[in-house]
Amino acid sequence: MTMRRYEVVYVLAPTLTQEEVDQYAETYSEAAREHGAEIINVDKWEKRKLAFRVKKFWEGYYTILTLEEEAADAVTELERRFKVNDTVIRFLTVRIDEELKRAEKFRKEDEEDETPAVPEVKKAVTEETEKKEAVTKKAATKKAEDKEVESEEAEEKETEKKPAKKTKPAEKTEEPAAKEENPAEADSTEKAEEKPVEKPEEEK
Amino acid sequence: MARGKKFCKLCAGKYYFDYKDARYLSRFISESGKIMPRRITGTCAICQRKLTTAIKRARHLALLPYVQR
Repeated sequence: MTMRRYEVVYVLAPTLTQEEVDQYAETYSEAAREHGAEIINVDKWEKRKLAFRVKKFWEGYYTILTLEEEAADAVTELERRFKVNDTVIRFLTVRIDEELKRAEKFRKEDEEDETPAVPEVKKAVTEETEKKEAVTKKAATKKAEDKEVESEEAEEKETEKKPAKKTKPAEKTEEPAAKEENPAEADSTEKAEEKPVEKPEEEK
Repeated sequence: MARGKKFCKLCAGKYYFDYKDARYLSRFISESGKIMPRRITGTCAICQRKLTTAIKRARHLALLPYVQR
């Protein structure tokens, strides 16, 4: 017979003291042992807030019994006791041995799958990373150099720009003037129909 | 062979969702307490099935809300 592993979670009312909670944990684990179960672990949580109100309580003591047995005698006995006991707000029994087995199986398969592939991948990755690092370093140094050059250039540009700017505004001032002239002509063309007649003559 | 690679990033490390880990499971429920659909969380079909059972167990134990206002 294969052993079945169960997780029995029960929530006790917050009106109990910590000692009473400990007592309940002992009595329940003792009851499970009497019915042929092996207690693997007893996990007692601190008083915890509930997500919603259960039997007019907002808090509860969670206790998780992990036990192993062949038949579900202990579990049925525990559940019977939980139903009888009013201080038990909620309880849940889950069989976890199959889940554990499946998890183990997947883990093993993964290891088998990965063991040959991992070193290659890692090497590739390391090589890539090294390359990248080298590249980045180079790039960084290059960038630094570039920056220096750029800064120098920028300085030069700035020095160049200053006179250029000085000249440019002058040009700009000229351009608007030219533009002003054109609209003036346009206006004149609109306003006076005589001038266009004159213009072609001028152009010619 | 490639069985392990087919899984989403959630089950890559572990294939079991713990119904006692409310903080982790709360990532897969909406603000109103609903279980998030697969198309939003990006979980694989197997994970989604296990997640839903885990969330429902957590709800029964009042670790997660059924509805949240």
